[in-house]
Amino acid sequence: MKFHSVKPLIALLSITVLLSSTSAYAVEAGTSVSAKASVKANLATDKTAKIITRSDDAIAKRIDALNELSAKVQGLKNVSVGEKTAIQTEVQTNIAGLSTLKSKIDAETDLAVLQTDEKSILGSFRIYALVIPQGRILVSADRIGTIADMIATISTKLQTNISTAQNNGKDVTALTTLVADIAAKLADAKTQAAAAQSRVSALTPDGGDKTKADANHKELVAARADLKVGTQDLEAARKDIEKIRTGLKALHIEASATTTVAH
Amino acid sequence: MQSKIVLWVIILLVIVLGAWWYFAQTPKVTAPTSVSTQTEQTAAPVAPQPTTVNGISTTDTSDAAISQDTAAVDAQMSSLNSDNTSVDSGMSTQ
Repeated sequence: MKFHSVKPLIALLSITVLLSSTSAYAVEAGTSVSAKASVKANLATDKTAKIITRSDDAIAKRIDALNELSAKVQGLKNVSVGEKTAIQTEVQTNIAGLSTLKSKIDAETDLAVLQTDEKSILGSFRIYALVIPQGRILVSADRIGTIADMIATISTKLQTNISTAQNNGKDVTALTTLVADIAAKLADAKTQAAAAQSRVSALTPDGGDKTKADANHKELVAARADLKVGTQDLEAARKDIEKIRTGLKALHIEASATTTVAH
Repeated sequence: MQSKIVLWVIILLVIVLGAWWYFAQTPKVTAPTSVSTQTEQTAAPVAPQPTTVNGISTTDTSDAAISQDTAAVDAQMSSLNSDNTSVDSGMSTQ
């Protein structure tokens, strides 16, 4: 057999082999693409579910904190009804907004939209960055006012006992100085509380404006410092009360509800 | 006989009308209960309630009362410190 006579047969065989291998590759490639697409879809679904769970959790924590704040605001004694209403409105608006966002997130299937919604929990509401600290500062400032009033009442009662001691010929100079110190500390505590309240009352969410966010944070930090000084004033006044009580005991003054008798 | 019955009916009618007229003219006597109740009700002595501000008596200057007052202040101070801690943690959480 000559080579020329076998040539067409070899060519035909080669083409057959080539075609079969190409088609096998094509089938394999097709299978690979669809598998990859399926894996990708599964990953996207998994990521979506994770974002929804994470967002729901973040929203729930914020709503809990807002409800806790709302309960505390109800009990405020030293702020005006208008201020109280303003805080409550702010709290309720945020709770409603977060609830609406939660419903939207739970129903969302688009990954990109979900990612944007998740970011908005932080960016649009500013619950932890502004609303909660703002409310808590007002609650603390209010409590400083309440404690100052309580200490003032005790101070007045101690002054009555000091006057009785004085009328009985006792030297009450040191005790009178302590009463004056209490008055000064209480006045400063109230000033600090009012300053803290004034700093934060009008703050509003920055809405993504970094300059405003920084300004808000600065006011919150300053208000926190005011509260710290106010608290220290009250602690000092509280110590003065004990000093006066000890001093009165040293002068052998036994106070009673109706009369105070020196022994 | 029939005329006698009519006569008795007329007499009864006159008596009933007369009685009605008599009682209608007599002024009604009010029950004296309200008067006696008023006279019997004497104001019971009410012990003066101590004036309190934020749970602290403003009148009782005894050492025991002041001890109670300071305990109330300490409880409020404790709550204040807790509030302040909440402010700090709130500001550090984003």
